[in-house]
Parts: sequence; structure tokens; C-alpha cells
Amino acid sequence: MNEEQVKRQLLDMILEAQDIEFAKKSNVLNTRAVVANDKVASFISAALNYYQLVNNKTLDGVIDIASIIEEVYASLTDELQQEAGEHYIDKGFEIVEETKKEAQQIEALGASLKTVISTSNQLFKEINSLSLAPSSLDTQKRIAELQEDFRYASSGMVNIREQIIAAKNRMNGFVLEKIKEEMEFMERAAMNSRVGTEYEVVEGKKVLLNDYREYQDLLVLSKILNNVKDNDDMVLVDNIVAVNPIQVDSVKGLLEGITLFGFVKPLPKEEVKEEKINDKLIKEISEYLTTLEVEDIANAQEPYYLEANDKYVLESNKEEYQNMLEILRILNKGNNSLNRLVPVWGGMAHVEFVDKERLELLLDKSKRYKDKNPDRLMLRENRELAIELEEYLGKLGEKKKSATLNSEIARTSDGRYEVLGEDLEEANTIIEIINMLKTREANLINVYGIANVSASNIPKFKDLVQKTKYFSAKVPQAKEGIVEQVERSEMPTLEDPKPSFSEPTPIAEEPKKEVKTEEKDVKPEVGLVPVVSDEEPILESDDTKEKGKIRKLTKDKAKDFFRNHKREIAIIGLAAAAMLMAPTVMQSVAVAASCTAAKFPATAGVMNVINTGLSAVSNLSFVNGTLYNAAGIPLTYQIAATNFWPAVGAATAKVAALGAGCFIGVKAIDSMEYADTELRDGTRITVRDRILDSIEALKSSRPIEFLAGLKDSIVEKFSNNNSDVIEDVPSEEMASDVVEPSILPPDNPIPVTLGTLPGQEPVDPQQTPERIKEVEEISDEISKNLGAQLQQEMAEAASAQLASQLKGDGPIEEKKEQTLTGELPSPQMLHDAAGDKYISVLASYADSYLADTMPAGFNIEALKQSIRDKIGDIQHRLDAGVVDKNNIDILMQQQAELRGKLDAIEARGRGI
Amino acid sequence: MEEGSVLSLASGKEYLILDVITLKDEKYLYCVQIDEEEMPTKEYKYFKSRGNDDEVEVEEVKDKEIVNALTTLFTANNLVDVTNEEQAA
Repeated sequence: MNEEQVKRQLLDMILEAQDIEFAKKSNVLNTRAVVANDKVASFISAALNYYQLVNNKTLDGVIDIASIIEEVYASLTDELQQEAGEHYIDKGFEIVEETKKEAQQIEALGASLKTVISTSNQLFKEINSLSLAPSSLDTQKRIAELQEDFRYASSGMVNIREQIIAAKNRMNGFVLEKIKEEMEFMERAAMNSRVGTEYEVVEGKKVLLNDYREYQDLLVLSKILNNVKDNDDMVLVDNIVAVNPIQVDSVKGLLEGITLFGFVKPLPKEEVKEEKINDKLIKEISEYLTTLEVEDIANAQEPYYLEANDKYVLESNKEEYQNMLEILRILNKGNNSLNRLVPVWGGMAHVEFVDKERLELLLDKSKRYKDKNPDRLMLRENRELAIELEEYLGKLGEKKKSATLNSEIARTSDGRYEVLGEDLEEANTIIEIINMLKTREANLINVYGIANVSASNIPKFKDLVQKTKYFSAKVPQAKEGIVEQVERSEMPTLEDPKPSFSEPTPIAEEPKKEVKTEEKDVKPEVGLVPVVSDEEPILESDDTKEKGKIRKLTKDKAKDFFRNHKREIAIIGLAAAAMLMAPTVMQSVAVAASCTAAKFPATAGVMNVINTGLSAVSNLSFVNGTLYNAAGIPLTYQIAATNFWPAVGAATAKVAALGAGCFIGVKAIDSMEYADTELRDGTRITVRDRILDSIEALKSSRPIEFLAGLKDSIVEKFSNNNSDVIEDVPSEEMASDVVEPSILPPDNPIPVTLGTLPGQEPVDPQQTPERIKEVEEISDEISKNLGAQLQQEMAEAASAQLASQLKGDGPIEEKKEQTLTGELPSPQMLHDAAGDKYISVLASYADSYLADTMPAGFNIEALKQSIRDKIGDIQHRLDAGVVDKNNIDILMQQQAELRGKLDAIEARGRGI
Repeated sequence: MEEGSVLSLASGKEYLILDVITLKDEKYLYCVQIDEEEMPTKEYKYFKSRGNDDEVEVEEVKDKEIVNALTTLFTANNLVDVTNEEQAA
């Protein structure tokens, strides 16, 4: 037996004795070592053996066995303490592991519960409010619908609560089991202790004095955990137990004091040498430097001594060596920098912005690296292509030789070639491409595998190559973008309620499609790779199929229109389809968003963005994932389709389309087992990364400004280019309603009223009659073109909009005439005004009242109640934590503004 | 069969192809009907297509599940472009 084996034998005997009763164990020769009675002899023998092995000597003559055993026991004490520590660490990790799943579940369920509670509260409020409104069949119908929704939400709440309680029971149950084991261990230790050992009695159990405090704590903790009330809220403590809020402080204190739970918190990670961003290049350069250094100075020609690092290099390599040292300095600085780093040469290195230019210069000067400049390589490719295109131009010029008498001959735009008239456009386009290729720019991007251009030139380049015959084979016939990638990852269709994504595969590892071009292989850049579609056989003919041909657009106006507006044209149709999905599929968005909020907080933000965008341009809103109009009617495809051509509708539709995109993102992310950090930190470009990027971009963008711009462009498009084609185009008047994005206030994205955008200039009082006429015309047009629901919705909103703009100038009588409907704000209107989009309407009513410009008989109590409701509603949303953090300040400001108005109204009422 | 070209059917109707994707080995076209001036109308269609530019056979997609799937896929395609280029304000 070797030293380790003997030591293990001794430790086992000591540990075994801890679990047996006192009568059956003894101190070995009166030392501190205690073993089972029948193991005393074995222990002495093993201890002596161990002593000889450790000290590498043989015992002979007279020896003091007791003192040797005492010495051996002392040496084993450290080992025993370590083992005891490991015991607790093991148990701690076991607890963490076993309770982790429940902790995550409780957290996610808690988030869902919040959402459902918030929805229920809104429904409850709405039902109450409708109950107070004048009774009608429509109102009764709506109340019945809301009550049904309320019942559904309530049952959902019960279900979630039950799941939380079940998870809490599993989690706390496991911890209680461990507490019980620990307490029993202490009780056994007391029972097995020798006579005379001090102990205490706790609830009839003997506990060693040393264990007394810990035992007491465990006992109290177990009592608390057994008394967690199911009908109260639950709070996770250290992610290992769930208790009521009132118990949190006590439990935290207890967990901190108990040895077993002292090991629950993750131990500090071992210091792992983290690979830093420039390490690879630093290593490469360091190796390169050694090749430049001169070892054999005696035989070297012109050795040059570098004092800085005590090395010799050849005179001819001196500059290169020093440049490399400087590069190393910059790279190391980048590695240790806390500032944002910028990529250099396509990510070859990452350095501080201030060092970028210098590093590029040094790399460019370097013998070793100058040829690795990606821009240089790309420019070389461009030069090669330019030569190739010049040859092509020459060939076009040669065709002139075969010209007949009727052939038209024309000179190219640069005057260098004479070509056939039919080739002139082609030749001029090629010349434009050559000119673009000759521009020396940095940060080039490969397009279609054809050439490399700067980001700003991509659209123009694409347009040019698409026009040419020369590149027709290389221009993509289908985008190898997200679609094919999603398909490759076998995305299930929407019929699968629980889509499961396969492990994302790095693009580089995916099987490449064989890409054939006439000239050369294209680069496998995602989204830009041309795909050669194999010709396929014609389908068997039947009634549902139709034959046809593919041709090019022939009319210049149509070509231009498509080129300039193709995305809007595509999005509008998709939005209509997305709305078709809304009542069924889109519902999943809300559910998925709340369920994934815990592990992917961005989704909650995305929903906020969608709703903010929606309310900015329409009366539409998502409630539980269903799209409703202001009257609370769920939107169907027909209503949406009627609406989507006018500018407002188009912008709304755009948001819906973005919503559909988010749907994909949410679903994709929901189905992944990846932690948020892995998603964000991953360097692999996958479909999901791209979706995530899109969501992040959407979240971080200013959607209202974006929508304003979009609305502008759509109105302009249809009023200038297409008014004779589209029936429901917005009128000139409507176009004039559009606000230039540039005048939008950047920091106030909260919507105002239907059909207006933030920052819209208030109406000049001098022009109010014209303005009324304008709004009436719009209203008339809406009446003509839109369905009944939408007409009511937009007319009401136009009225509210106008009312909000009429501020205390001129006599009261004039104001009354200026009101579109000539009616006082009804309770329903005031109720509507309590929606987000009507905050400014409430404020303007309040202003009008305070300025004495409201007509006689105005129901100030109804207005005050609406303002109070709105203040309460904002508070409720803030308390519930459902507000995107970017909007918290804005909502608080609006709440404060409304409070100010309310105070002023009440002060007026008190005659102050 | 590429984005921006025109699908000209025997019935006389013509559609501008807005996007093309391949799903489970089938090629799907996202189209908007155009008028005699080649300008888009408000009629949008999804077609499943076979064949080549000279002889193509299409069938309108009406299956709701496939419509939903195509809508999400085409939207994703457009969403990526929109957010990257237009939302960077």
C-alpha cells in the first residue's frame, strides 16, 4: 500500500466512527483519534505504517506509539476539514442544480402573471366604463365580449398561480429534505458523542453545543419554508427557495448564516486566462519578430542593435522590426482597453479608434502584411474586372463592323467607342460601372460576387449591373438570404405550435450550394450570393394551374417606380397578409413575448415598440395579441385591407409587417435553448443572429420618426406617381398633412391623435376655417372610401384632433362652430381619450376649460374622472413594470402634466 | 423568374414578381398584379411555380398554413433590409 492508500484507510476509519454511537467507538490509546472499537488495532497498525512512509524511515527500538498516533491524527485533521468543506460544497451545488429549473420557471411564470394581471385590470376597467355608458345593443355586445375575455384572463391567472405554487413546492421541498438530512446528521453527532460532551436540547433533540446555533437556524428556516402561504406573492431568494415577501429578510439572514447554504452561492470562478481579441495577431507578429532577429551577430551583415528590447536585426529589417513593435504596442493597448474598439482591415485587428489610422498605415507599410489589406485585394479585383469590361466594350465596338445600312451607330457617353444603337445603353451602363470600379474607397463590400463597392454605392451598383446583359447571369435570381437559411434550418410551418429549431450551424460549416457563374466563383457572402435556379419540369396541367411566361418590365415609368419603391410595394402586401394572420397567429406574439421575457428581455421591448408605432399612426392596438380598432372591434383582414391604401393605413400596415417579423424572431428565440448572453456574444452569423439583429435594430430605432418618413414617401409616391392607378389614394390635402421627419421632436415619440404625427405644427388660428374645410374634405373622402368601422374611427379621431388644436383664441361661439361635429365631448369620447394616444386631447380639453373656452354645459366632472383614470392607468403600467424603459420618463412627464392640469381644474372649482 | 420581372399569364393577367423563395423544393413567388401601364394594383398573390422563364406554370397558394409561412418568411426577408438600411436614423 502506498502513502495515499494508507491515508485513505485512516481517514475512512475516523469518518466511520463519526456515525456510530459512543459505546461502540474508542479513543485510540487516549489520543484524539476516535475509531470503532473493532478498528483500534487496525488504526494503530495503519498509523505506524503511514508515519514510516511519510517520514521515509523505519521504526525500531523504543517508540512512543501514542505520540506517533497523535502526530498522524494531527496531520490528517487538515484533510478532514477539507473533506467536510467538500461535503458542503457538494451539497450546495446539488441544491443549486436541483432548484435551478424551478427558479427559472417561477421567474418566467411571474412575468406572465404580471402581463395577465395587467390585461385583466384593463378589461375590468373597460367593462366598468362601458357599463356606465348609454346602453345600446352594440355596448351590450361589447360588454359580453369583454366579460368573456376577462373570464379567460382570470382562468389563465389561476392556471399560472397553480403552476407557480407547484414549482415552489418542488423547490422548497427539496431544500427541506436537505435541511432534514443536515439536522439528523447533527443529532447523530450529539448522540454519538462521548460522555461529558456539552450539548443543548432543542425541541427534545440533543445537539452538540458547537452545532447548536446552526441547528436552531435550520429549524427556523424549515418552519418558515413549511409556512409559505400559497395565496400570497412569491419571491425567489438566492434562486433556491421561494417565500412570501414578508419572509424574505428572515430567510436571507438565515441562508447567509447556515454553513450548508454558504456554499450555495457560486464559488468565484478560477482565474482562466481569457483569450483577448488581438491575441492571435500578437502571437503571429511575435513569431515573425523572432525570424527578423539575428542570433549570429558575428556573421551577420550590418547587424543593428535595438536597445529597446536588446535584440539585433539586419539594417534592412530595422524599419520593419520597429514597425512591428509599434503594431504590437497598439494591439496590446487594444487588448487592455476599456474603450470601444474598432475593427481594422476587415476585423484582422481591433484597436481604439485613435489608433486605427496609424495601425492601418503601419500594416500597409509592412512587408509581411501589406498584401493582406482586404481593401487592397478588393481594389485589385475591381481593377481586373474593369480591364475585363473594357475588353467587353471593345467587343461591342467591333460589332459595328457587322452593321448594315439600316443600323444605327452611336457613340458612348465617354466618347471612346462607337457601338450599335441597340448596344448603346449596355455600353454606357458598363462605362458607369467601370468608373465606379476605379474609385478608390475603403471598407468595400462584395456585391453579387461581381465586384467590391462601398456601402453607399451598393444600391447604385446593383441597379447598374441589373441593367446589363453582361452580368445577367450573375445577378441573383433569388436571394440567398434569410429565406433559404431558414428553410435550411428546417423551420417548421406555423402549424407547429411549438417550433423547434435545430442547433445553429455556423455559415462556414454549412454545405455550400454550388454556385456557377461564367467568369469565376462567387464569394459565399450571405444575402449576396447569386443562386442559379435549375430549370424544372412543367406541372401536370389542371384547372387550378395556369401557364404563362416571364418577361421584363418594359415601361420606364413602371421600371422607375418599382426600382424606387419596391420595398414599400412588397411590405404593404405582406402587411395585409400579416393582418390576416393577426387574430390567430399573432396572438402567439404576446404569449411568446411574455414567456420569453425572462430569458430574452428584448421581446417585451419589441411589443412596446409595435404598440407605440401602432398608436402613433392609428387607433389600432394590440390587446392579448389581437388587433383592435378604437371601438374595440377586432380587426379582420377585410377592414385592414380597406384601410391599407391610405397613407395612415399604409404606415399602420408597415408596423404590422414589422410585427410579423418580430413574430418570427420571438418564435425563433423562444425555441432556442440558448442563454441571452450566448446569443449576444456569439460570433457565428446564423439566421437567428440576423433576426436578433433586426429586433435589436427595431428596438433601438425611433420607430415613430421612421414611420413618419415612410408615410411621407408613400403619400408622395401615390399622389405624384400613381394617382391614376390606385383608387384609394390619399388626396392632396391628406398629403399636406404629412410632417417632414426632420421637424419631429427627437425625444418625444409619444403619439398624439389619429392621422397626426408627433411634432405636427399646431394650426394657425388665422387659418382655422381652411383647416376645418380641409379636415372635412378628408373626412368626406374617408366616408367615400372606407368601411363603416373605419369611417367612424377616423372621423372621431379627426374631430378629436381638431378639438385638440383649437386653443383659446377667439370668442366661444366661434369655437363651437369650429368643432367638427358641433357636439360636446361625450363620455365615450372622454373614455377614448383615456387611451395612450389621447393624452394630449385630455390636456387640451383641460386647457380649454381653464381658458374658459369650453362651451357652457361642458361636463367637467367627466373630464376630471378621465384625467384621474389616465393618471391611474399610467401609474398602474409603471408599477406593473410593463413599460419599456425608454418610455418611462416620457410617461412620468405626461402623468405629471395631467396631475398639474387636474390640480388646476380643481383649484378653479374651489375658486382659487 | 426573378424579382422585378413580370409573370405574364395566359388569362391576360400580369403580375410583378416582388420576391422569390424556395420552400421544401418548391419555388414560391410573391407578386402584385399590374395594370396595362405595368403599375401595381392592390391585388397581391402568392404563387407556386414550376418551369423556366419561357414556359412557367403557376398555381395560386391558398392553403392558409402555407400563406402564413410564406408571409412570415417574406416579411423576414424584407424586415432585415428595412432595419439595416432605413432604421439607422
